[in-house]
Amino acid sequence: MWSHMFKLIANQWRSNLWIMVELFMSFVCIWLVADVLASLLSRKFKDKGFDLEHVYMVSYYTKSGDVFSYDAGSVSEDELRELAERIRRYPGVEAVGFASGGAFPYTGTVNGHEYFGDTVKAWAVDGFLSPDMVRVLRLTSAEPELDLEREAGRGDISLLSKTLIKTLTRSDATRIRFYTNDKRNNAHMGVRSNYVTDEYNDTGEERCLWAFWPEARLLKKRPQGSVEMFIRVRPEADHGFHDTFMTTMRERLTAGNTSIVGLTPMKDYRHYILGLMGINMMYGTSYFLSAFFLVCAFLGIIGTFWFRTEARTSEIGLRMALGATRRQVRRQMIGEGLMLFALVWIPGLVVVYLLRDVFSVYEVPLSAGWLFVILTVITTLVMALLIVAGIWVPARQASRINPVDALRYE
Amino acid sequence: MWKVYLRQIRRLLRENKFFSVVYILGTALSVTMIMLILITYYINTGNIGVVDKRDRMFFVTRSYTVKPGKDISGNNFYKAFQGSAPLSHKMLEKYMYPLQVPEAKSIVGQTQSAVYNKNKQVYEEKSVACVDADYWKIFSMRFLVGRPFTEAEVKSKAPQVVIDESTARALFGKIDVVGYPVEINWKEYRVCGVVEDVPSYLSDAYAHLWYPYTTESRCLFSSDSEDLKDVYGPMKMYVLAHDRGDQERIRQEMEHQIQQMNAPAKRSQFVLNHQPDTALESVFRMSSDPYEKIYSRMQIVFIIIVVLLVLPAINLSGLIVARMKKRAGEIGVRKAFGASVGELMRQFFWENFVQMLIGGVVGLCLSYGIFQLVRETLLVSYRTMNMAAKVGHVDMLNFFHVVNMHTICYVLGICFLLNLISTLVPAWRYARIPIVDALNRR
Repeated sequence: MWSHMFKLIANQWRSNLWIMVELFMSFVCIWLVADVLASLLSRKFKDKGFDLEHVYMVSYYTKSGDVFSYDAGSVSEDELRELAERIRRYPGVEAVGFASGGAFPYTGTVNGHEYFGDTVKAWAVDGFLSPDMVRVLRLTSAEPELDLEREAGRGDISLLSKTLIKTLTRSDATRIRFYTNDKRNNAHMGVRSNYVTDEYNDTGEERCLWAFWPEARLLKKRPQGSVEMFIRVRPEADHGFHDTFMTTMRERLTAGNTSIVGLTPMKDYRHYILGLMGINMMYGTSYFLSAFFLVCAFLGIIGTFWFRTEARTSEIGLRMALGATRRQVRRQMIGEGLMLFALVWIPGLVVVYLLRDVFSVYEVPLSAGWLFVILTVITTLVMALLIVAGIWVPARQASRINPVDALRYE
Repeated sequence: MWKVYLRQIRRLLRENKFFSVVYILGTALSVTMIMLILITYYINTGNIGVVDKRDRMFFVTRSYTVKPGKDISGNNFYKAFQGSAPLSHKMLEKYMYPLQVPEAKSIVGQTQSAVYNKNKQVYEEKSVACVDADYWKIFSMRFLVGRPFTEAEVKSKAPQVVIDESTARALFGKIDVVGYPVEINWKEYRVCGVVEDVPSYLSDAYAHLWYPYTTESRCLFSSDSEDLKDVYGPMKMYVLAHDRGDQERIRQEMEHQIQQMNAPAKRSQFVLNHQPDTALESVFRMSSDPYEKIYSRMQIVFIIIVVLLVLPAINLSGLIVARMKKRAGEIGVRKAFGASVGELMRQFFWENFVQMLIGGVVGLCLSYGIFQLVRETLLVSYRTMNMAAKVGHVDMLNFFHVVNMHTICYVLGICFLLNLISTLVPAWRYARIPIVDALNRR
């Protein structure tokens, strides 16, 4: 059976060559796109350590000194605390917190400092949060029994990413001591957290440190130039929240020189930033390209096999006259298609493996290790299915031929 | 001869409906995919609407500082790299305003401002552009009433504002509003002109309100890198050249200016990193990479386009081979009556080209539809990023900004290439079959 099929393929090697090139290209392309997609998705579902659902970023403006109505006597941090207090009293608001310029997710920040362990130092992306941000972002630490909110309220605790702890202590500890200067005279406590800036960011190999500062100190010092205000809303209150909030609070949105002018859902903000980072584009391109390659391969296979069966009508008639059943004819045709795919499978895999290295130069995220095997299995199965589906219709048509008509064709 | 061809094509299309459908679908698919890329390219770089001089525009969007005396080519850039951010107005005014080669130079800061809406009695966040007088030379905004603000007004920090039609209607209910007061960030401005709306996908020119950057305190901050003064800020610069070939001359002049700037500093050095960019280059420029990365990013897009062309071409080629086989008899007869190989190949080429054009038209329509759906994803670039990154939406695309002479030419080009790749080999093979063999085959 197999050697017979081989003979058939070898006899028509010219037209089979086209199909093989086609299958080869499709296999390689689908594999590579699946690779990019898989690694994007694996990042998407990694534990981020924060939750942005029902969280809003507050846009507020502060009058500049040259404005006529500027109140020189009013203190900026008091205004912000006053506004936060007012929002906390608004029904449906669960928590209000502040974060410095780079300390909230999706800022793409690369601001950082050097931090010191007992013996080593490491550079880390850093930022500063008010204790209430634990509730706003639902931050978690690697120590489940630790009441992060209470500890943060006491001040002087920081969230450290796994890689930073590993660099500072060369261990996987969940709680460590670290210093902010080389003299190592003032120890700070750090807890391990999954909280990274965003799931696609590899800046500083994910060495991050988020320090909790009391709200008053954070607003007064503004360690990274600016602070942003965030609100967590209870799920049941989060229906048309923006509009009702802005209308009912209208008179209470200004304190001294500071005014709140709008709220941005963090989900939208995330989407916007991922767009700027080109992540949305990568997703879109991968989805589109994989669909394109699949449809393209399908059309190619169905088209070529349609004509092949038409050209081979007499052969099929002869087979059936000699006792082959319709099922056997169909099976043989599908077998031929799969055999052609099998012939290009190994060279395809080799090329894919080599192309991965070329692609990594272009900063395309790629999978590694076991994912390679899984992807190979998946793409192979998808291609095989595609081939069977593409040959099915022409094969069925061919097997319906009346042997008498087919033979007269000769 | 043409009539015969056309009649034959019509027959072919009708005779083998299945083939035609597969063929046209395959082409349409390929054209759609490539057009999505080319429309994105066109919207970002073409001379469209008010941005009608973009081929002569160059962009300086970021300042880069490196350790002095280090090699900054290729990946060595990261070792010498100190920082990168948009530029400060002080640095641009001092070193870039004196440029002689360009026709116009504009300092631009795109951001959001709180604008007071008297009708609703609320402050609303609006996209604004803080610009200088040269801005109005670079873009061709159509003034419905009034005029742009002048250089003297920018220098004297006059609170003048140009607003667009929709903002004028939202604030005052009419467009004849020159001299009316508008409260922006609690400061009172006077409307000096009203322009037609600019769609947000023309991101270089987009804003609802335009006012002198000298009146906006957020535009006037700057920060240092080590001992290099005032390099970072929130601004960028658009440069309009007399001729599109002037990029290199402008770059040289800028390099010269920068030497003066770097002279007093010892621990830090400003580099252009191959700016000014063309519109296309600036789409691919992202924060803190050496400029070579721009070209490797472009290469990916180019590779994708080639794959999108070649893969369907192989598919179609397979189809054509299969069909040629059936038409071997016809080829034999044609040859017996004296048709040359060239003539036959021409015929196959045109036959397929017409079928492809049908696919091309379908593809263009499809790509317009799909583009509207995914425009938020396709039309983003670092160049459009605001001082305060805020969620922005992309307006619906004007039909004539997407389907016009340029894009139709693209479609023709794609079809021609696709056809050339897919028919050349099969046509060459079958047109050369000896007459007897051709006639003998069914």
